[in-house]
Amino acid sequence: MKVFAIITATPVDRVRVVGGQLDFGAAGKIDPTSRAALVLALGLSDDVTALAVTGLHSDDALHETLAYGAKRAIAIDNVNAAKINDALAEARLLNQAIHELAGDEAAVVFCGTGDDSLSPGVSNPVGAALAGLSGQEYIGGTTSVKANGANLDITASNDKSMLTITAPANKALVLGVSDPAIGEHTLPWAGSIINAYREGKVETMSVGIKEIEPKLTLNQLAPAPKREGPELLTESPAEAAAALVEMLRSRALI
Amino acid sequence: MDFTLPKEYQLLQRTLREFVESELAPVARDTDRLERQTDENIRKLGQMGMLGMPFPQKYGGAGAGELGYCLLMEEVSRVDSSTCTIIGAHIGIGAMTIYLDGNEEQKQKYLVPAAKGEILAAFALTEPGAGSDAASIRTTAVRKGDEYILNGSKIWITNGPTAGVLTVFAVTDKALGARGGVTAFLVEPSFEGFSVGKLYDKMGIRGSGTAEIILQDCRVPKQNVLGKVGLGFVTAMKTLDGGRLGLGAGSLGGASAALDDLIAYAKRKLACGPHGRMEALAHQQYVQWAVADIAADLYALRQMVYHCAWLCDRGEKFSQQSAIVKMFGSDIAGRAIAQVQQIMGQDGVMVGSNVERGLRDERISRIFEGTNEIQRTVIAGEIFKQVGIRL
Repeated sequence: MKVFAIITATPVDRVRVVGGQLDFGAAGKIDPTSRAALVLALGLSDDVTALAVTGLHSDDALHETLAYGAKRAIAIDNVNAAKINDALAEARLLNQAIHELAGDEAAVVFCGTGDDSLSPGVSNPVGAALAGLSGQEYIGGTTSVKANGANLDITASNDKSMLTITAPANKALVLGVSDPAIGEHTLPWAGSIINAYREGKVETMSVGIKEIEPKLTLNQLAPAPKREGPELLTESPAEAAAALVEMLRSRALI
Repeated sequence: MDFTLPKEYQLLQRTLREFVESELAPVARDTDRLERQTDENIRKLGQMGMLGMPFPQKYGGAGAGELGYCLLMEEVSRVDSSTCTIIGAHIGIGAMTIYLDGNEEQKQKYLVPAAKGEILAAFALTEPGAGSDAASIRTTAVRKGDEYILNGSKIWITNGPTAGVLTVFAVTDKALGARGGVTAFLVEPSFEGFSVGKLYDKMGIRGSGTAEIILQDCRVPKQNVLGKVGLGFVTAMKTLDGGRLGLGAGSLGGASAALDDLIAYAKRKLACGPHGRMEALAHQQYVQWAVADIAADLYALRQMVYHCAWLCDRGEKFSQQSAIVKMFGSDIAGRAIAQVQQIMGQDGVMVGSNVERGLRDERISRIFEGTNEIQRTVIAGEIFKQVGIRL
């Protein structure tokens, strides 16, 4: 069994004033659900590999996983990584990386729900897509995982119910983690934080997927309705500006 | 020049902030009201590595140096000066004496458990007749076989009631006085002749225990001499350099928190504007000027604290700078918190408000570990020494 934790860095979600200066909250830290996923992974194994697709703050978030106790922290790089803006593309990179890292061993992958703003309404799109791509079982809402001999006892819950599942430890799984409270009071030892940067190393792994399929655009889903009234259909910015001024003049706005 | 905090310290600072906001802030008022920090919180501080922040990891510390210690003091002081005082006495002056002058055996026996938070440390120098004039201590230590017999009393000892080890300074040769006649000893509360006397009822930092220590024929093994016989005053003075820096960092946190309270208050509180309209207090010029003045002071203090910590971590001399940091920091913190309280009016004097507690807590910072008048003497002494005048 090879244990992985998928990490995303938290977005700038809480800007406030600290000591009279702007503090960008948790920017550059592990996303709370990713931290929950990491905490569950570390509870299952002391040999956890943290993975993150290269992006804004991913390096800091991966260093933080080392502070928490991850054995390896790997940034998944791809020539198109900067263009990744959807769950499926991210899952494709992660899937390939996990496939290469796990080899013949069964991969147990913990994945937080992360920032769902790119796929609103979809619970843990990366985890679900990862499971779909790899043909693995997906269990969402995981709240605890314990080794029990040759099996794993997995508890999953949502607002309405709680489910306990026993799965063979040699079976590949993707475990979705959505409760940020799981890792809330788990903070790393101060010495580990210092070591994470002074001694720890975030590895980079290039994954050979040449093209990332673009995200569906809004136009593809629902073309914008044609509006009535004048249009600024011009070739150059100068022409567009002139047409705009003319239009505003005609309406006595300038 | 790069003034950016190194990445590991940025993560440390954010983690400390998360810890103090989730664990200490919710109980800070109770810590003050009940006059004690809970064992549970002390245990958590130890688990996080906070009680050994500057010390090397081989001695159970976090290896974060003086800069890490200053960040810790700043963040803790933002929410709870009592706990900051416990940490300051434990690390800054208690355990630090062992780190600076202890032999390997003493470090293993006392520093390692102190750094892990298994025991608290304290620093016992002040006496009824020797406060700022530390060279006038009268507690005696007389060698008798394999032991020293200590007699005297120490006052205002932070962590005195709870410490597992205390660095006690005593006169071993009266004729030599401070220069060669004072020795430091590591004393355990279990030693015969040791007792905790009066517990002090303080105006502020009420959550930190402060006590009188009584030494009555207290028997201390000779192995517990810290450093060399006769050089205790040197140990005390170099330890206090770092202690003062930590106090300055604490003032930085306290003043920062006051400014944040003021900004939030000025945004929330409505007052009558010039045209009879109700508007946020922030539109009042006297509030804007107060915010600007405090922000300017904080900007200066922050640079001072981090620079002085940098000097210390590089192994450079920083006596003058740490005295400046302590003096300037506690002066501006006192001014800032009083200013914030004045603007908040009645809201700022209500018992239980942050600023009310902050004002009570802050007052001692201009007094302990050398009053600010003593700091001025130290600063001037260092300056005149450079031109050949010994004050």
